[in-house]
Amino acid sequence: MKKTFTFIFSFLIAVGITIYSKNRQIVPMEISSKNTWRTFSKNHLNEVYGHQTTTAEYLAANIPDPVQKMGNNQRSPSSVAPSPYLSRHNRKLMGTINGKYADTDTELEMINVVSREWKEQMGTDLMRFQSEKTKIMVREDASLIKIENEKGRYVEQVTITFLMDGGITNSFKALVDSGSGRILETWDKSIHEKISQHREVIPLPDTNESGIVTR
Amino acid sequence: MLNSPRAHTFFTLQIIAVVTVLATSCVPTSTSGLRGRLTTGQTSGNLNVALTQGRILSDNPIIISKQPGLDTNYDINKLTSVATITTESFLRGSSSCFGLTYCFEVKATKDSLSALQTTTGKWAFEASTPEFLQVNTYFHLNKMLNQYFTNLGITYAYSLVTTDTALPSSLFQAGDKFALQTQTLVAFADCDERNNSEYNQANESICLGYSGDNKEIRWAHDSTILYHETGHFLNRLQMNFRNPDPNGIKSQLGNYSLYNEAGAIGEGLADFYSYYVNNRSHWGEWAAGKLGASRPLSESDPIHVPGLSESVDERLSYPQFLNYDPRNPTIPSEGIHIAGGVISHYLHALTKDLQSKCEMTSGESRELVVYLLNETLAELGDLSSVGTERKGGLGKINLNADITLSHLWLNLVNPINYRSFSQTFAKNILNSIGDPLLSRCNGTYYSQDNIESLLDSYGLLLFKTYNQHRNLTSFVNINTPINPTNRKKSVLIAKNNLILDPTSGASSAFVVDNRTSIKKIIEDMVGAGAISNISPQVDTDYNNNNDKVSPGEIVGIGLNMFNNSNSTMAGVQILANDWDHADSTGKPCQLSNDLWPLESEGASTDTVSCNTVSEASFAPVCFFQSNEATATKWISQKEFMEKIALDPSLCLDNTNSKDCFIRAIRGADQAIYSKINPKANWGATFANPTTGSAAGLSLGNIILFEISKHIPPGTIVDCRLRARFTNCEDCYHRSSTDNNDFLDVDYNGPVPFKIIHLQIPIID
Repeated sequence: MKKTFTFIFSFLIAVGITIYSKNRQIVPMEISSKNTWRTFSKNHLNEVYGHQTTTAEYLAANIPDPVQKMGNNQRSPSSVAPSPYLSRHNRKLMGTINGKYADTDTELEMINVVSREWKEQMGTDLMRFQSEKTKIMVREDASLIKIENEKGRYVEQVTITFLMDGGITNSFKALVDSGSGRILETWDKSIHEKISQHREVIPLPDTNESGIVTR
Repeated sequence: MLNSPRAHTFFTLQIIAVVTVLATSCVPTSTSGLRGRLTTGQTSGNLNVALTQGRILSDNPIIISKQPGLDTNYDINKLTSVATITTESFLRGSSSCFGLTYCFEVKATKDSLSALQTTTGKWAFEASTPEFLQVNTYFHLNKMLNQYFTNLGITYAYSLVTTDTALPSSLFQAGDKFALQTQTLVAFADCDERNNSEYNQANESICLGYSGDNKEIRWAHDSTILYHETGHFLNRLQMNFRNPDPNGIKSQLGNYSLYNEAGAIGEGLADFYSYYVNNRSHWGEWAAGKLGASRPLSESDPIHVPGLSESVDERLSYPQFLNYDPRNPTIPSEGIHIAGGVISHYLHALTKDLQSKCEMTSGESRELVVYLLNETLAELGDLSSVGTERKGGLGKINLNADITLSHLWLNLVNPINYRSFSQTFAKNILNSIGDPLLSRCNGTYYSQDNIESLLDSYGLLLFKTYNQHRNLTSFVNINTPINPTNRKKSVLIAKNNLILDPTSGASSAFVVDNRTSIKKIIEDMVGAGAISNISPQVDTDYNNNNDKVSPGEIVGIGLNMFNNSNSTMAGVQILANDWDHADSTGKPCQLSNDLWPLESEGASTDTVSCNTVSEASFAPVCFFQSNEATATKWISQKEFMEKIALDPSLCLDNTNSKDCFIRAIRGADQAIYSKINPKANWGATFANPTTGSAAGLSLGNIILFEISKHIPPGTIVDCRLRARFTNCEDCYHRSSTDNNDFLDVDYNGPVPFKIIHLQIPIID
C-alpha cells in the first residue's frame, strides 16, 4: 500500500514537473536567442575571441535593460508601405519586396547561405584594427531576407556597441550578411556633445610628393 | 521498505522530484525582469514636500541665480524649488507611446538596476545627490515630451484637413497614443562621461555627464542639456515617421561627428528644442558655459560680435557664419555644433516674425515651428520614397522603394543640406500659414515674400522653386517659383568655379599614409559605425609614410579644392562612390561634361548605355592605364585584372571584380569641406590668423582608399570624382526646364556635378 502510494505520489510529482517545465519553455527560440549580447575582444596575441557578454560589460556599455522592447506583433502596420511585414521561412522580407515571395512555394534564388559563424566572422572583422582595450558587444535583433534584383540574401539585423578605452561608448545598428558576416548597412549611430575635447586633425604636409595630378 | 533496490529508487525519485520542484520555483520567470529584484534606488525623499512632489531646478543655476559668473561651489540647494513630479512610485513616464508600458524612465547610471523608486511618494533630495539628478531629469524630460506629444496631436489633427501631409495616418493610435517608439527611452542622469552628453540611438538612451576634475558640474543640473539631447531623440522620431518598421533601416540627421550639413542642421534643431521648451534664446549656460561652449540662438545675444544683429542685413547668415564661434570669432572652426547656429538662429527669428506678422504668442509660434519640423523631417527622411500621403508616390523622394538605395541617396548621393532643408521647410510654410485659403496667420496668411525674405536674410534662399512636384511625381503639376527679387543676400555660384588649386606649385591632393594616423582613423571610424569591411588584401602594415600611394596601403586623400568665384562656397562635397559613368562592360563613357577618355584611349562607343543614367548601374570611380601595343588606353579594373591574369579571389572583394584593385571605403567615400572663401583654397579659409595655416584635415575632409597589394608598381590610375556644393547655381536644378530640381536618378550621373580627375601613380 505504502509502495503504491509512494509510486503514485512520485509519478504525479514527476508529471507535474514535466508539465511545468514544458510550459516554461514556451519562449520561442528566436526570442531567447535574440536580445542576448555577445562580446568580442583581443588578447595579447592579437587574436579575437568571443564570449557571452558579462553583466559587468553590459553595464559598462550603458546598455539599458531591453525588457521593455516591444514585440513586432504588437505594432500596427503603417499606412506607408502596402505590406512591410511580409515574411518567408520565419524571416521578415525587406528590400524590393514583392508579395509573391511571402509564398514559400514561389521560388526565390538565394545568393548566400546562413553560416553559423557569421557573428564570429563579423566580430573578427570589426576588431581587426581595434586595440586590446576595446570590446565590441553585439546583440541580434532580427533575421531577415533582403530581396535584391529578384534574388534573396539572408541577413541579420544587429545592435553593436563599442566599449573603448576610457569608458567611451559608441553604438549603432547594422545589417549583416548571414553567410560572410560582412556588414552591409549601418544606421542609428550615437551622437555625442563632446565639449572642449581635442579635435583629431591630420597635419597638412609641408610639401606634397604624392605625384597626384589632375587633368 | 528501503532495503530493496526498487524501493530505494522510488524513494530517490521522490527526493529528486521534491527538490526539483522546490528549486525550479525559485527561478525567476521570463517576465519578472530586473525589477523584481530591486533592492537599490528605493528611497524616502522626504525634504519638506507633499506627496508626489519633489525638488527641482526650474532652469539651470546661472539663470535661476541671475549670476552669470556663478561659482561651481555654490550651494545649488538654495536654487531649487518644489514641483509635482509623479504619482507613480518609479521615475517612469507613460506619455503617449503606443505599445509600450512606459515611454521613458530615468536612472542614475549604467549600474542602476531600475528607475529610481520612492517608498514615501516624495521626491525631494539634496541637490548634490544622484537622486536629485534623476528627479530633475525626470521632471524636465516629462515636461518636454508632454509638450512635444501634445504638439504632435495638434499637428496630426491639422494634417487631416490639409491638402497634403507627410504624417502617415497610422501614426496616431487610440487613447491619444502614437506608434513611434519600439523601445523605452532611458535617461542616465549621472553618467560617468566627462565633458560629454550623448544620445545613443541604437540603444535608445540619453547620457548626461559631468565637468570638472571633481565632477563639480553635473550636466543634469542644466535642463537645457537634456532638452538638446532629447531634441536629437525627437529628430530621430520625426525623420522616421514614415519608416515605422521596428526591424528596418532608419534615417538619421548626420553621420557620427563627421562634418556634414545634415549633422549641422541636426545640432541646430537640437539647440532650438531648448528654446522650444524654455523660451530662452541661449543654451547651456551652466554645463557648457563653464567650459566656454554655451551657444546663443539669437543675434541679439550679448555674446555675439558687433555687427551681428536682428536687422535684415546683419543676421548670422549662411555661409559666412558657418565657422564662426562667438567665443573665438577670429579663428574659423569647422564643426557641426558651430555650423548649426545658422539654423537655430533662423528658426528663432522665424518664431519672432510669426509673433509679429501673425500676432501669435511666443508659445504658439514655437509650436508652429515644431509642426513645420514634423512635416519637413518626415518627408525628407522617408526611406519608402513616398514622401507625403496624398500627393506622394513611389519615387517621390530618396530615389525609390529599395530601402538600401534610399538610404544611400539620403546619406551620400543626395543628402539633406541647407538647401534641401530650407526648400522643404519653406514649402511647408507655404502650404500651411502661407496658404490664403487657410487664414492661419491672424485671419490672413504669411506671404511668400515673408517666407523668402527671412530665408534670404540668412542666406538660405538657395532654391529657385519650392519643388512641390518633387521628382515630377505629383499629379497636380504645381511648382511655385520663388520671387527672384527676394534673393538679395543668398548667392548661387556656377559649379565650374569649383576647381583644384591652380596656384603654381600647389598640390592637387594630399596623400595621408602615415601608419599610425591611418590606423587611428580606421579605429575611430569603425568604432563609430561609419566604415567596415576593410579588405584582407590591404593592411596598415604596408603604410610607409612616404606621402605616396603604394600597393597594400590604406590611404586618405584630401583634395586641395579652390573657389575661383568672388563669393563664398559652402557644403563642398566630393564623392568617390560608384556611379553610372561606364557602359555595361565597364568601359569608361565620355560624358556631356567630361570628354574623357578619347575613343582612341578606350572610351566606350555604346552611346545608348552611356547616355542613359540608370538608378541601378554603378561603376567604380577609378580606371587603369593600360599600355597597349598601339596606344595607351584606359580600362576598367576588371579588364586590368584579366590582363595581368590575377585570380579574382585576390581582388579587394573576392565576390566583386569591378573594383578589384582600388576602391573608396564605403562610409569614407566622400570628403566634405564646410566652406571655401572666394579666390582661396580650403586650407587658407581655415588658416589661423596667428599661425597662417590651418590646423589640419579632419576625418570628414579625406576619402579613404584601399590599394590592393597586387597592383603592379608604376601603374597609373585615373579616378573620376564628382563634386558639388550647396549654394550652387547649377547643381540642383535645370534652368532649361523651369528651374525644376534634378530628379533623384540624375544624381547617379554626371550632370549635377563638376567632374574632377585625379591621376594617381602607384609607387613601390
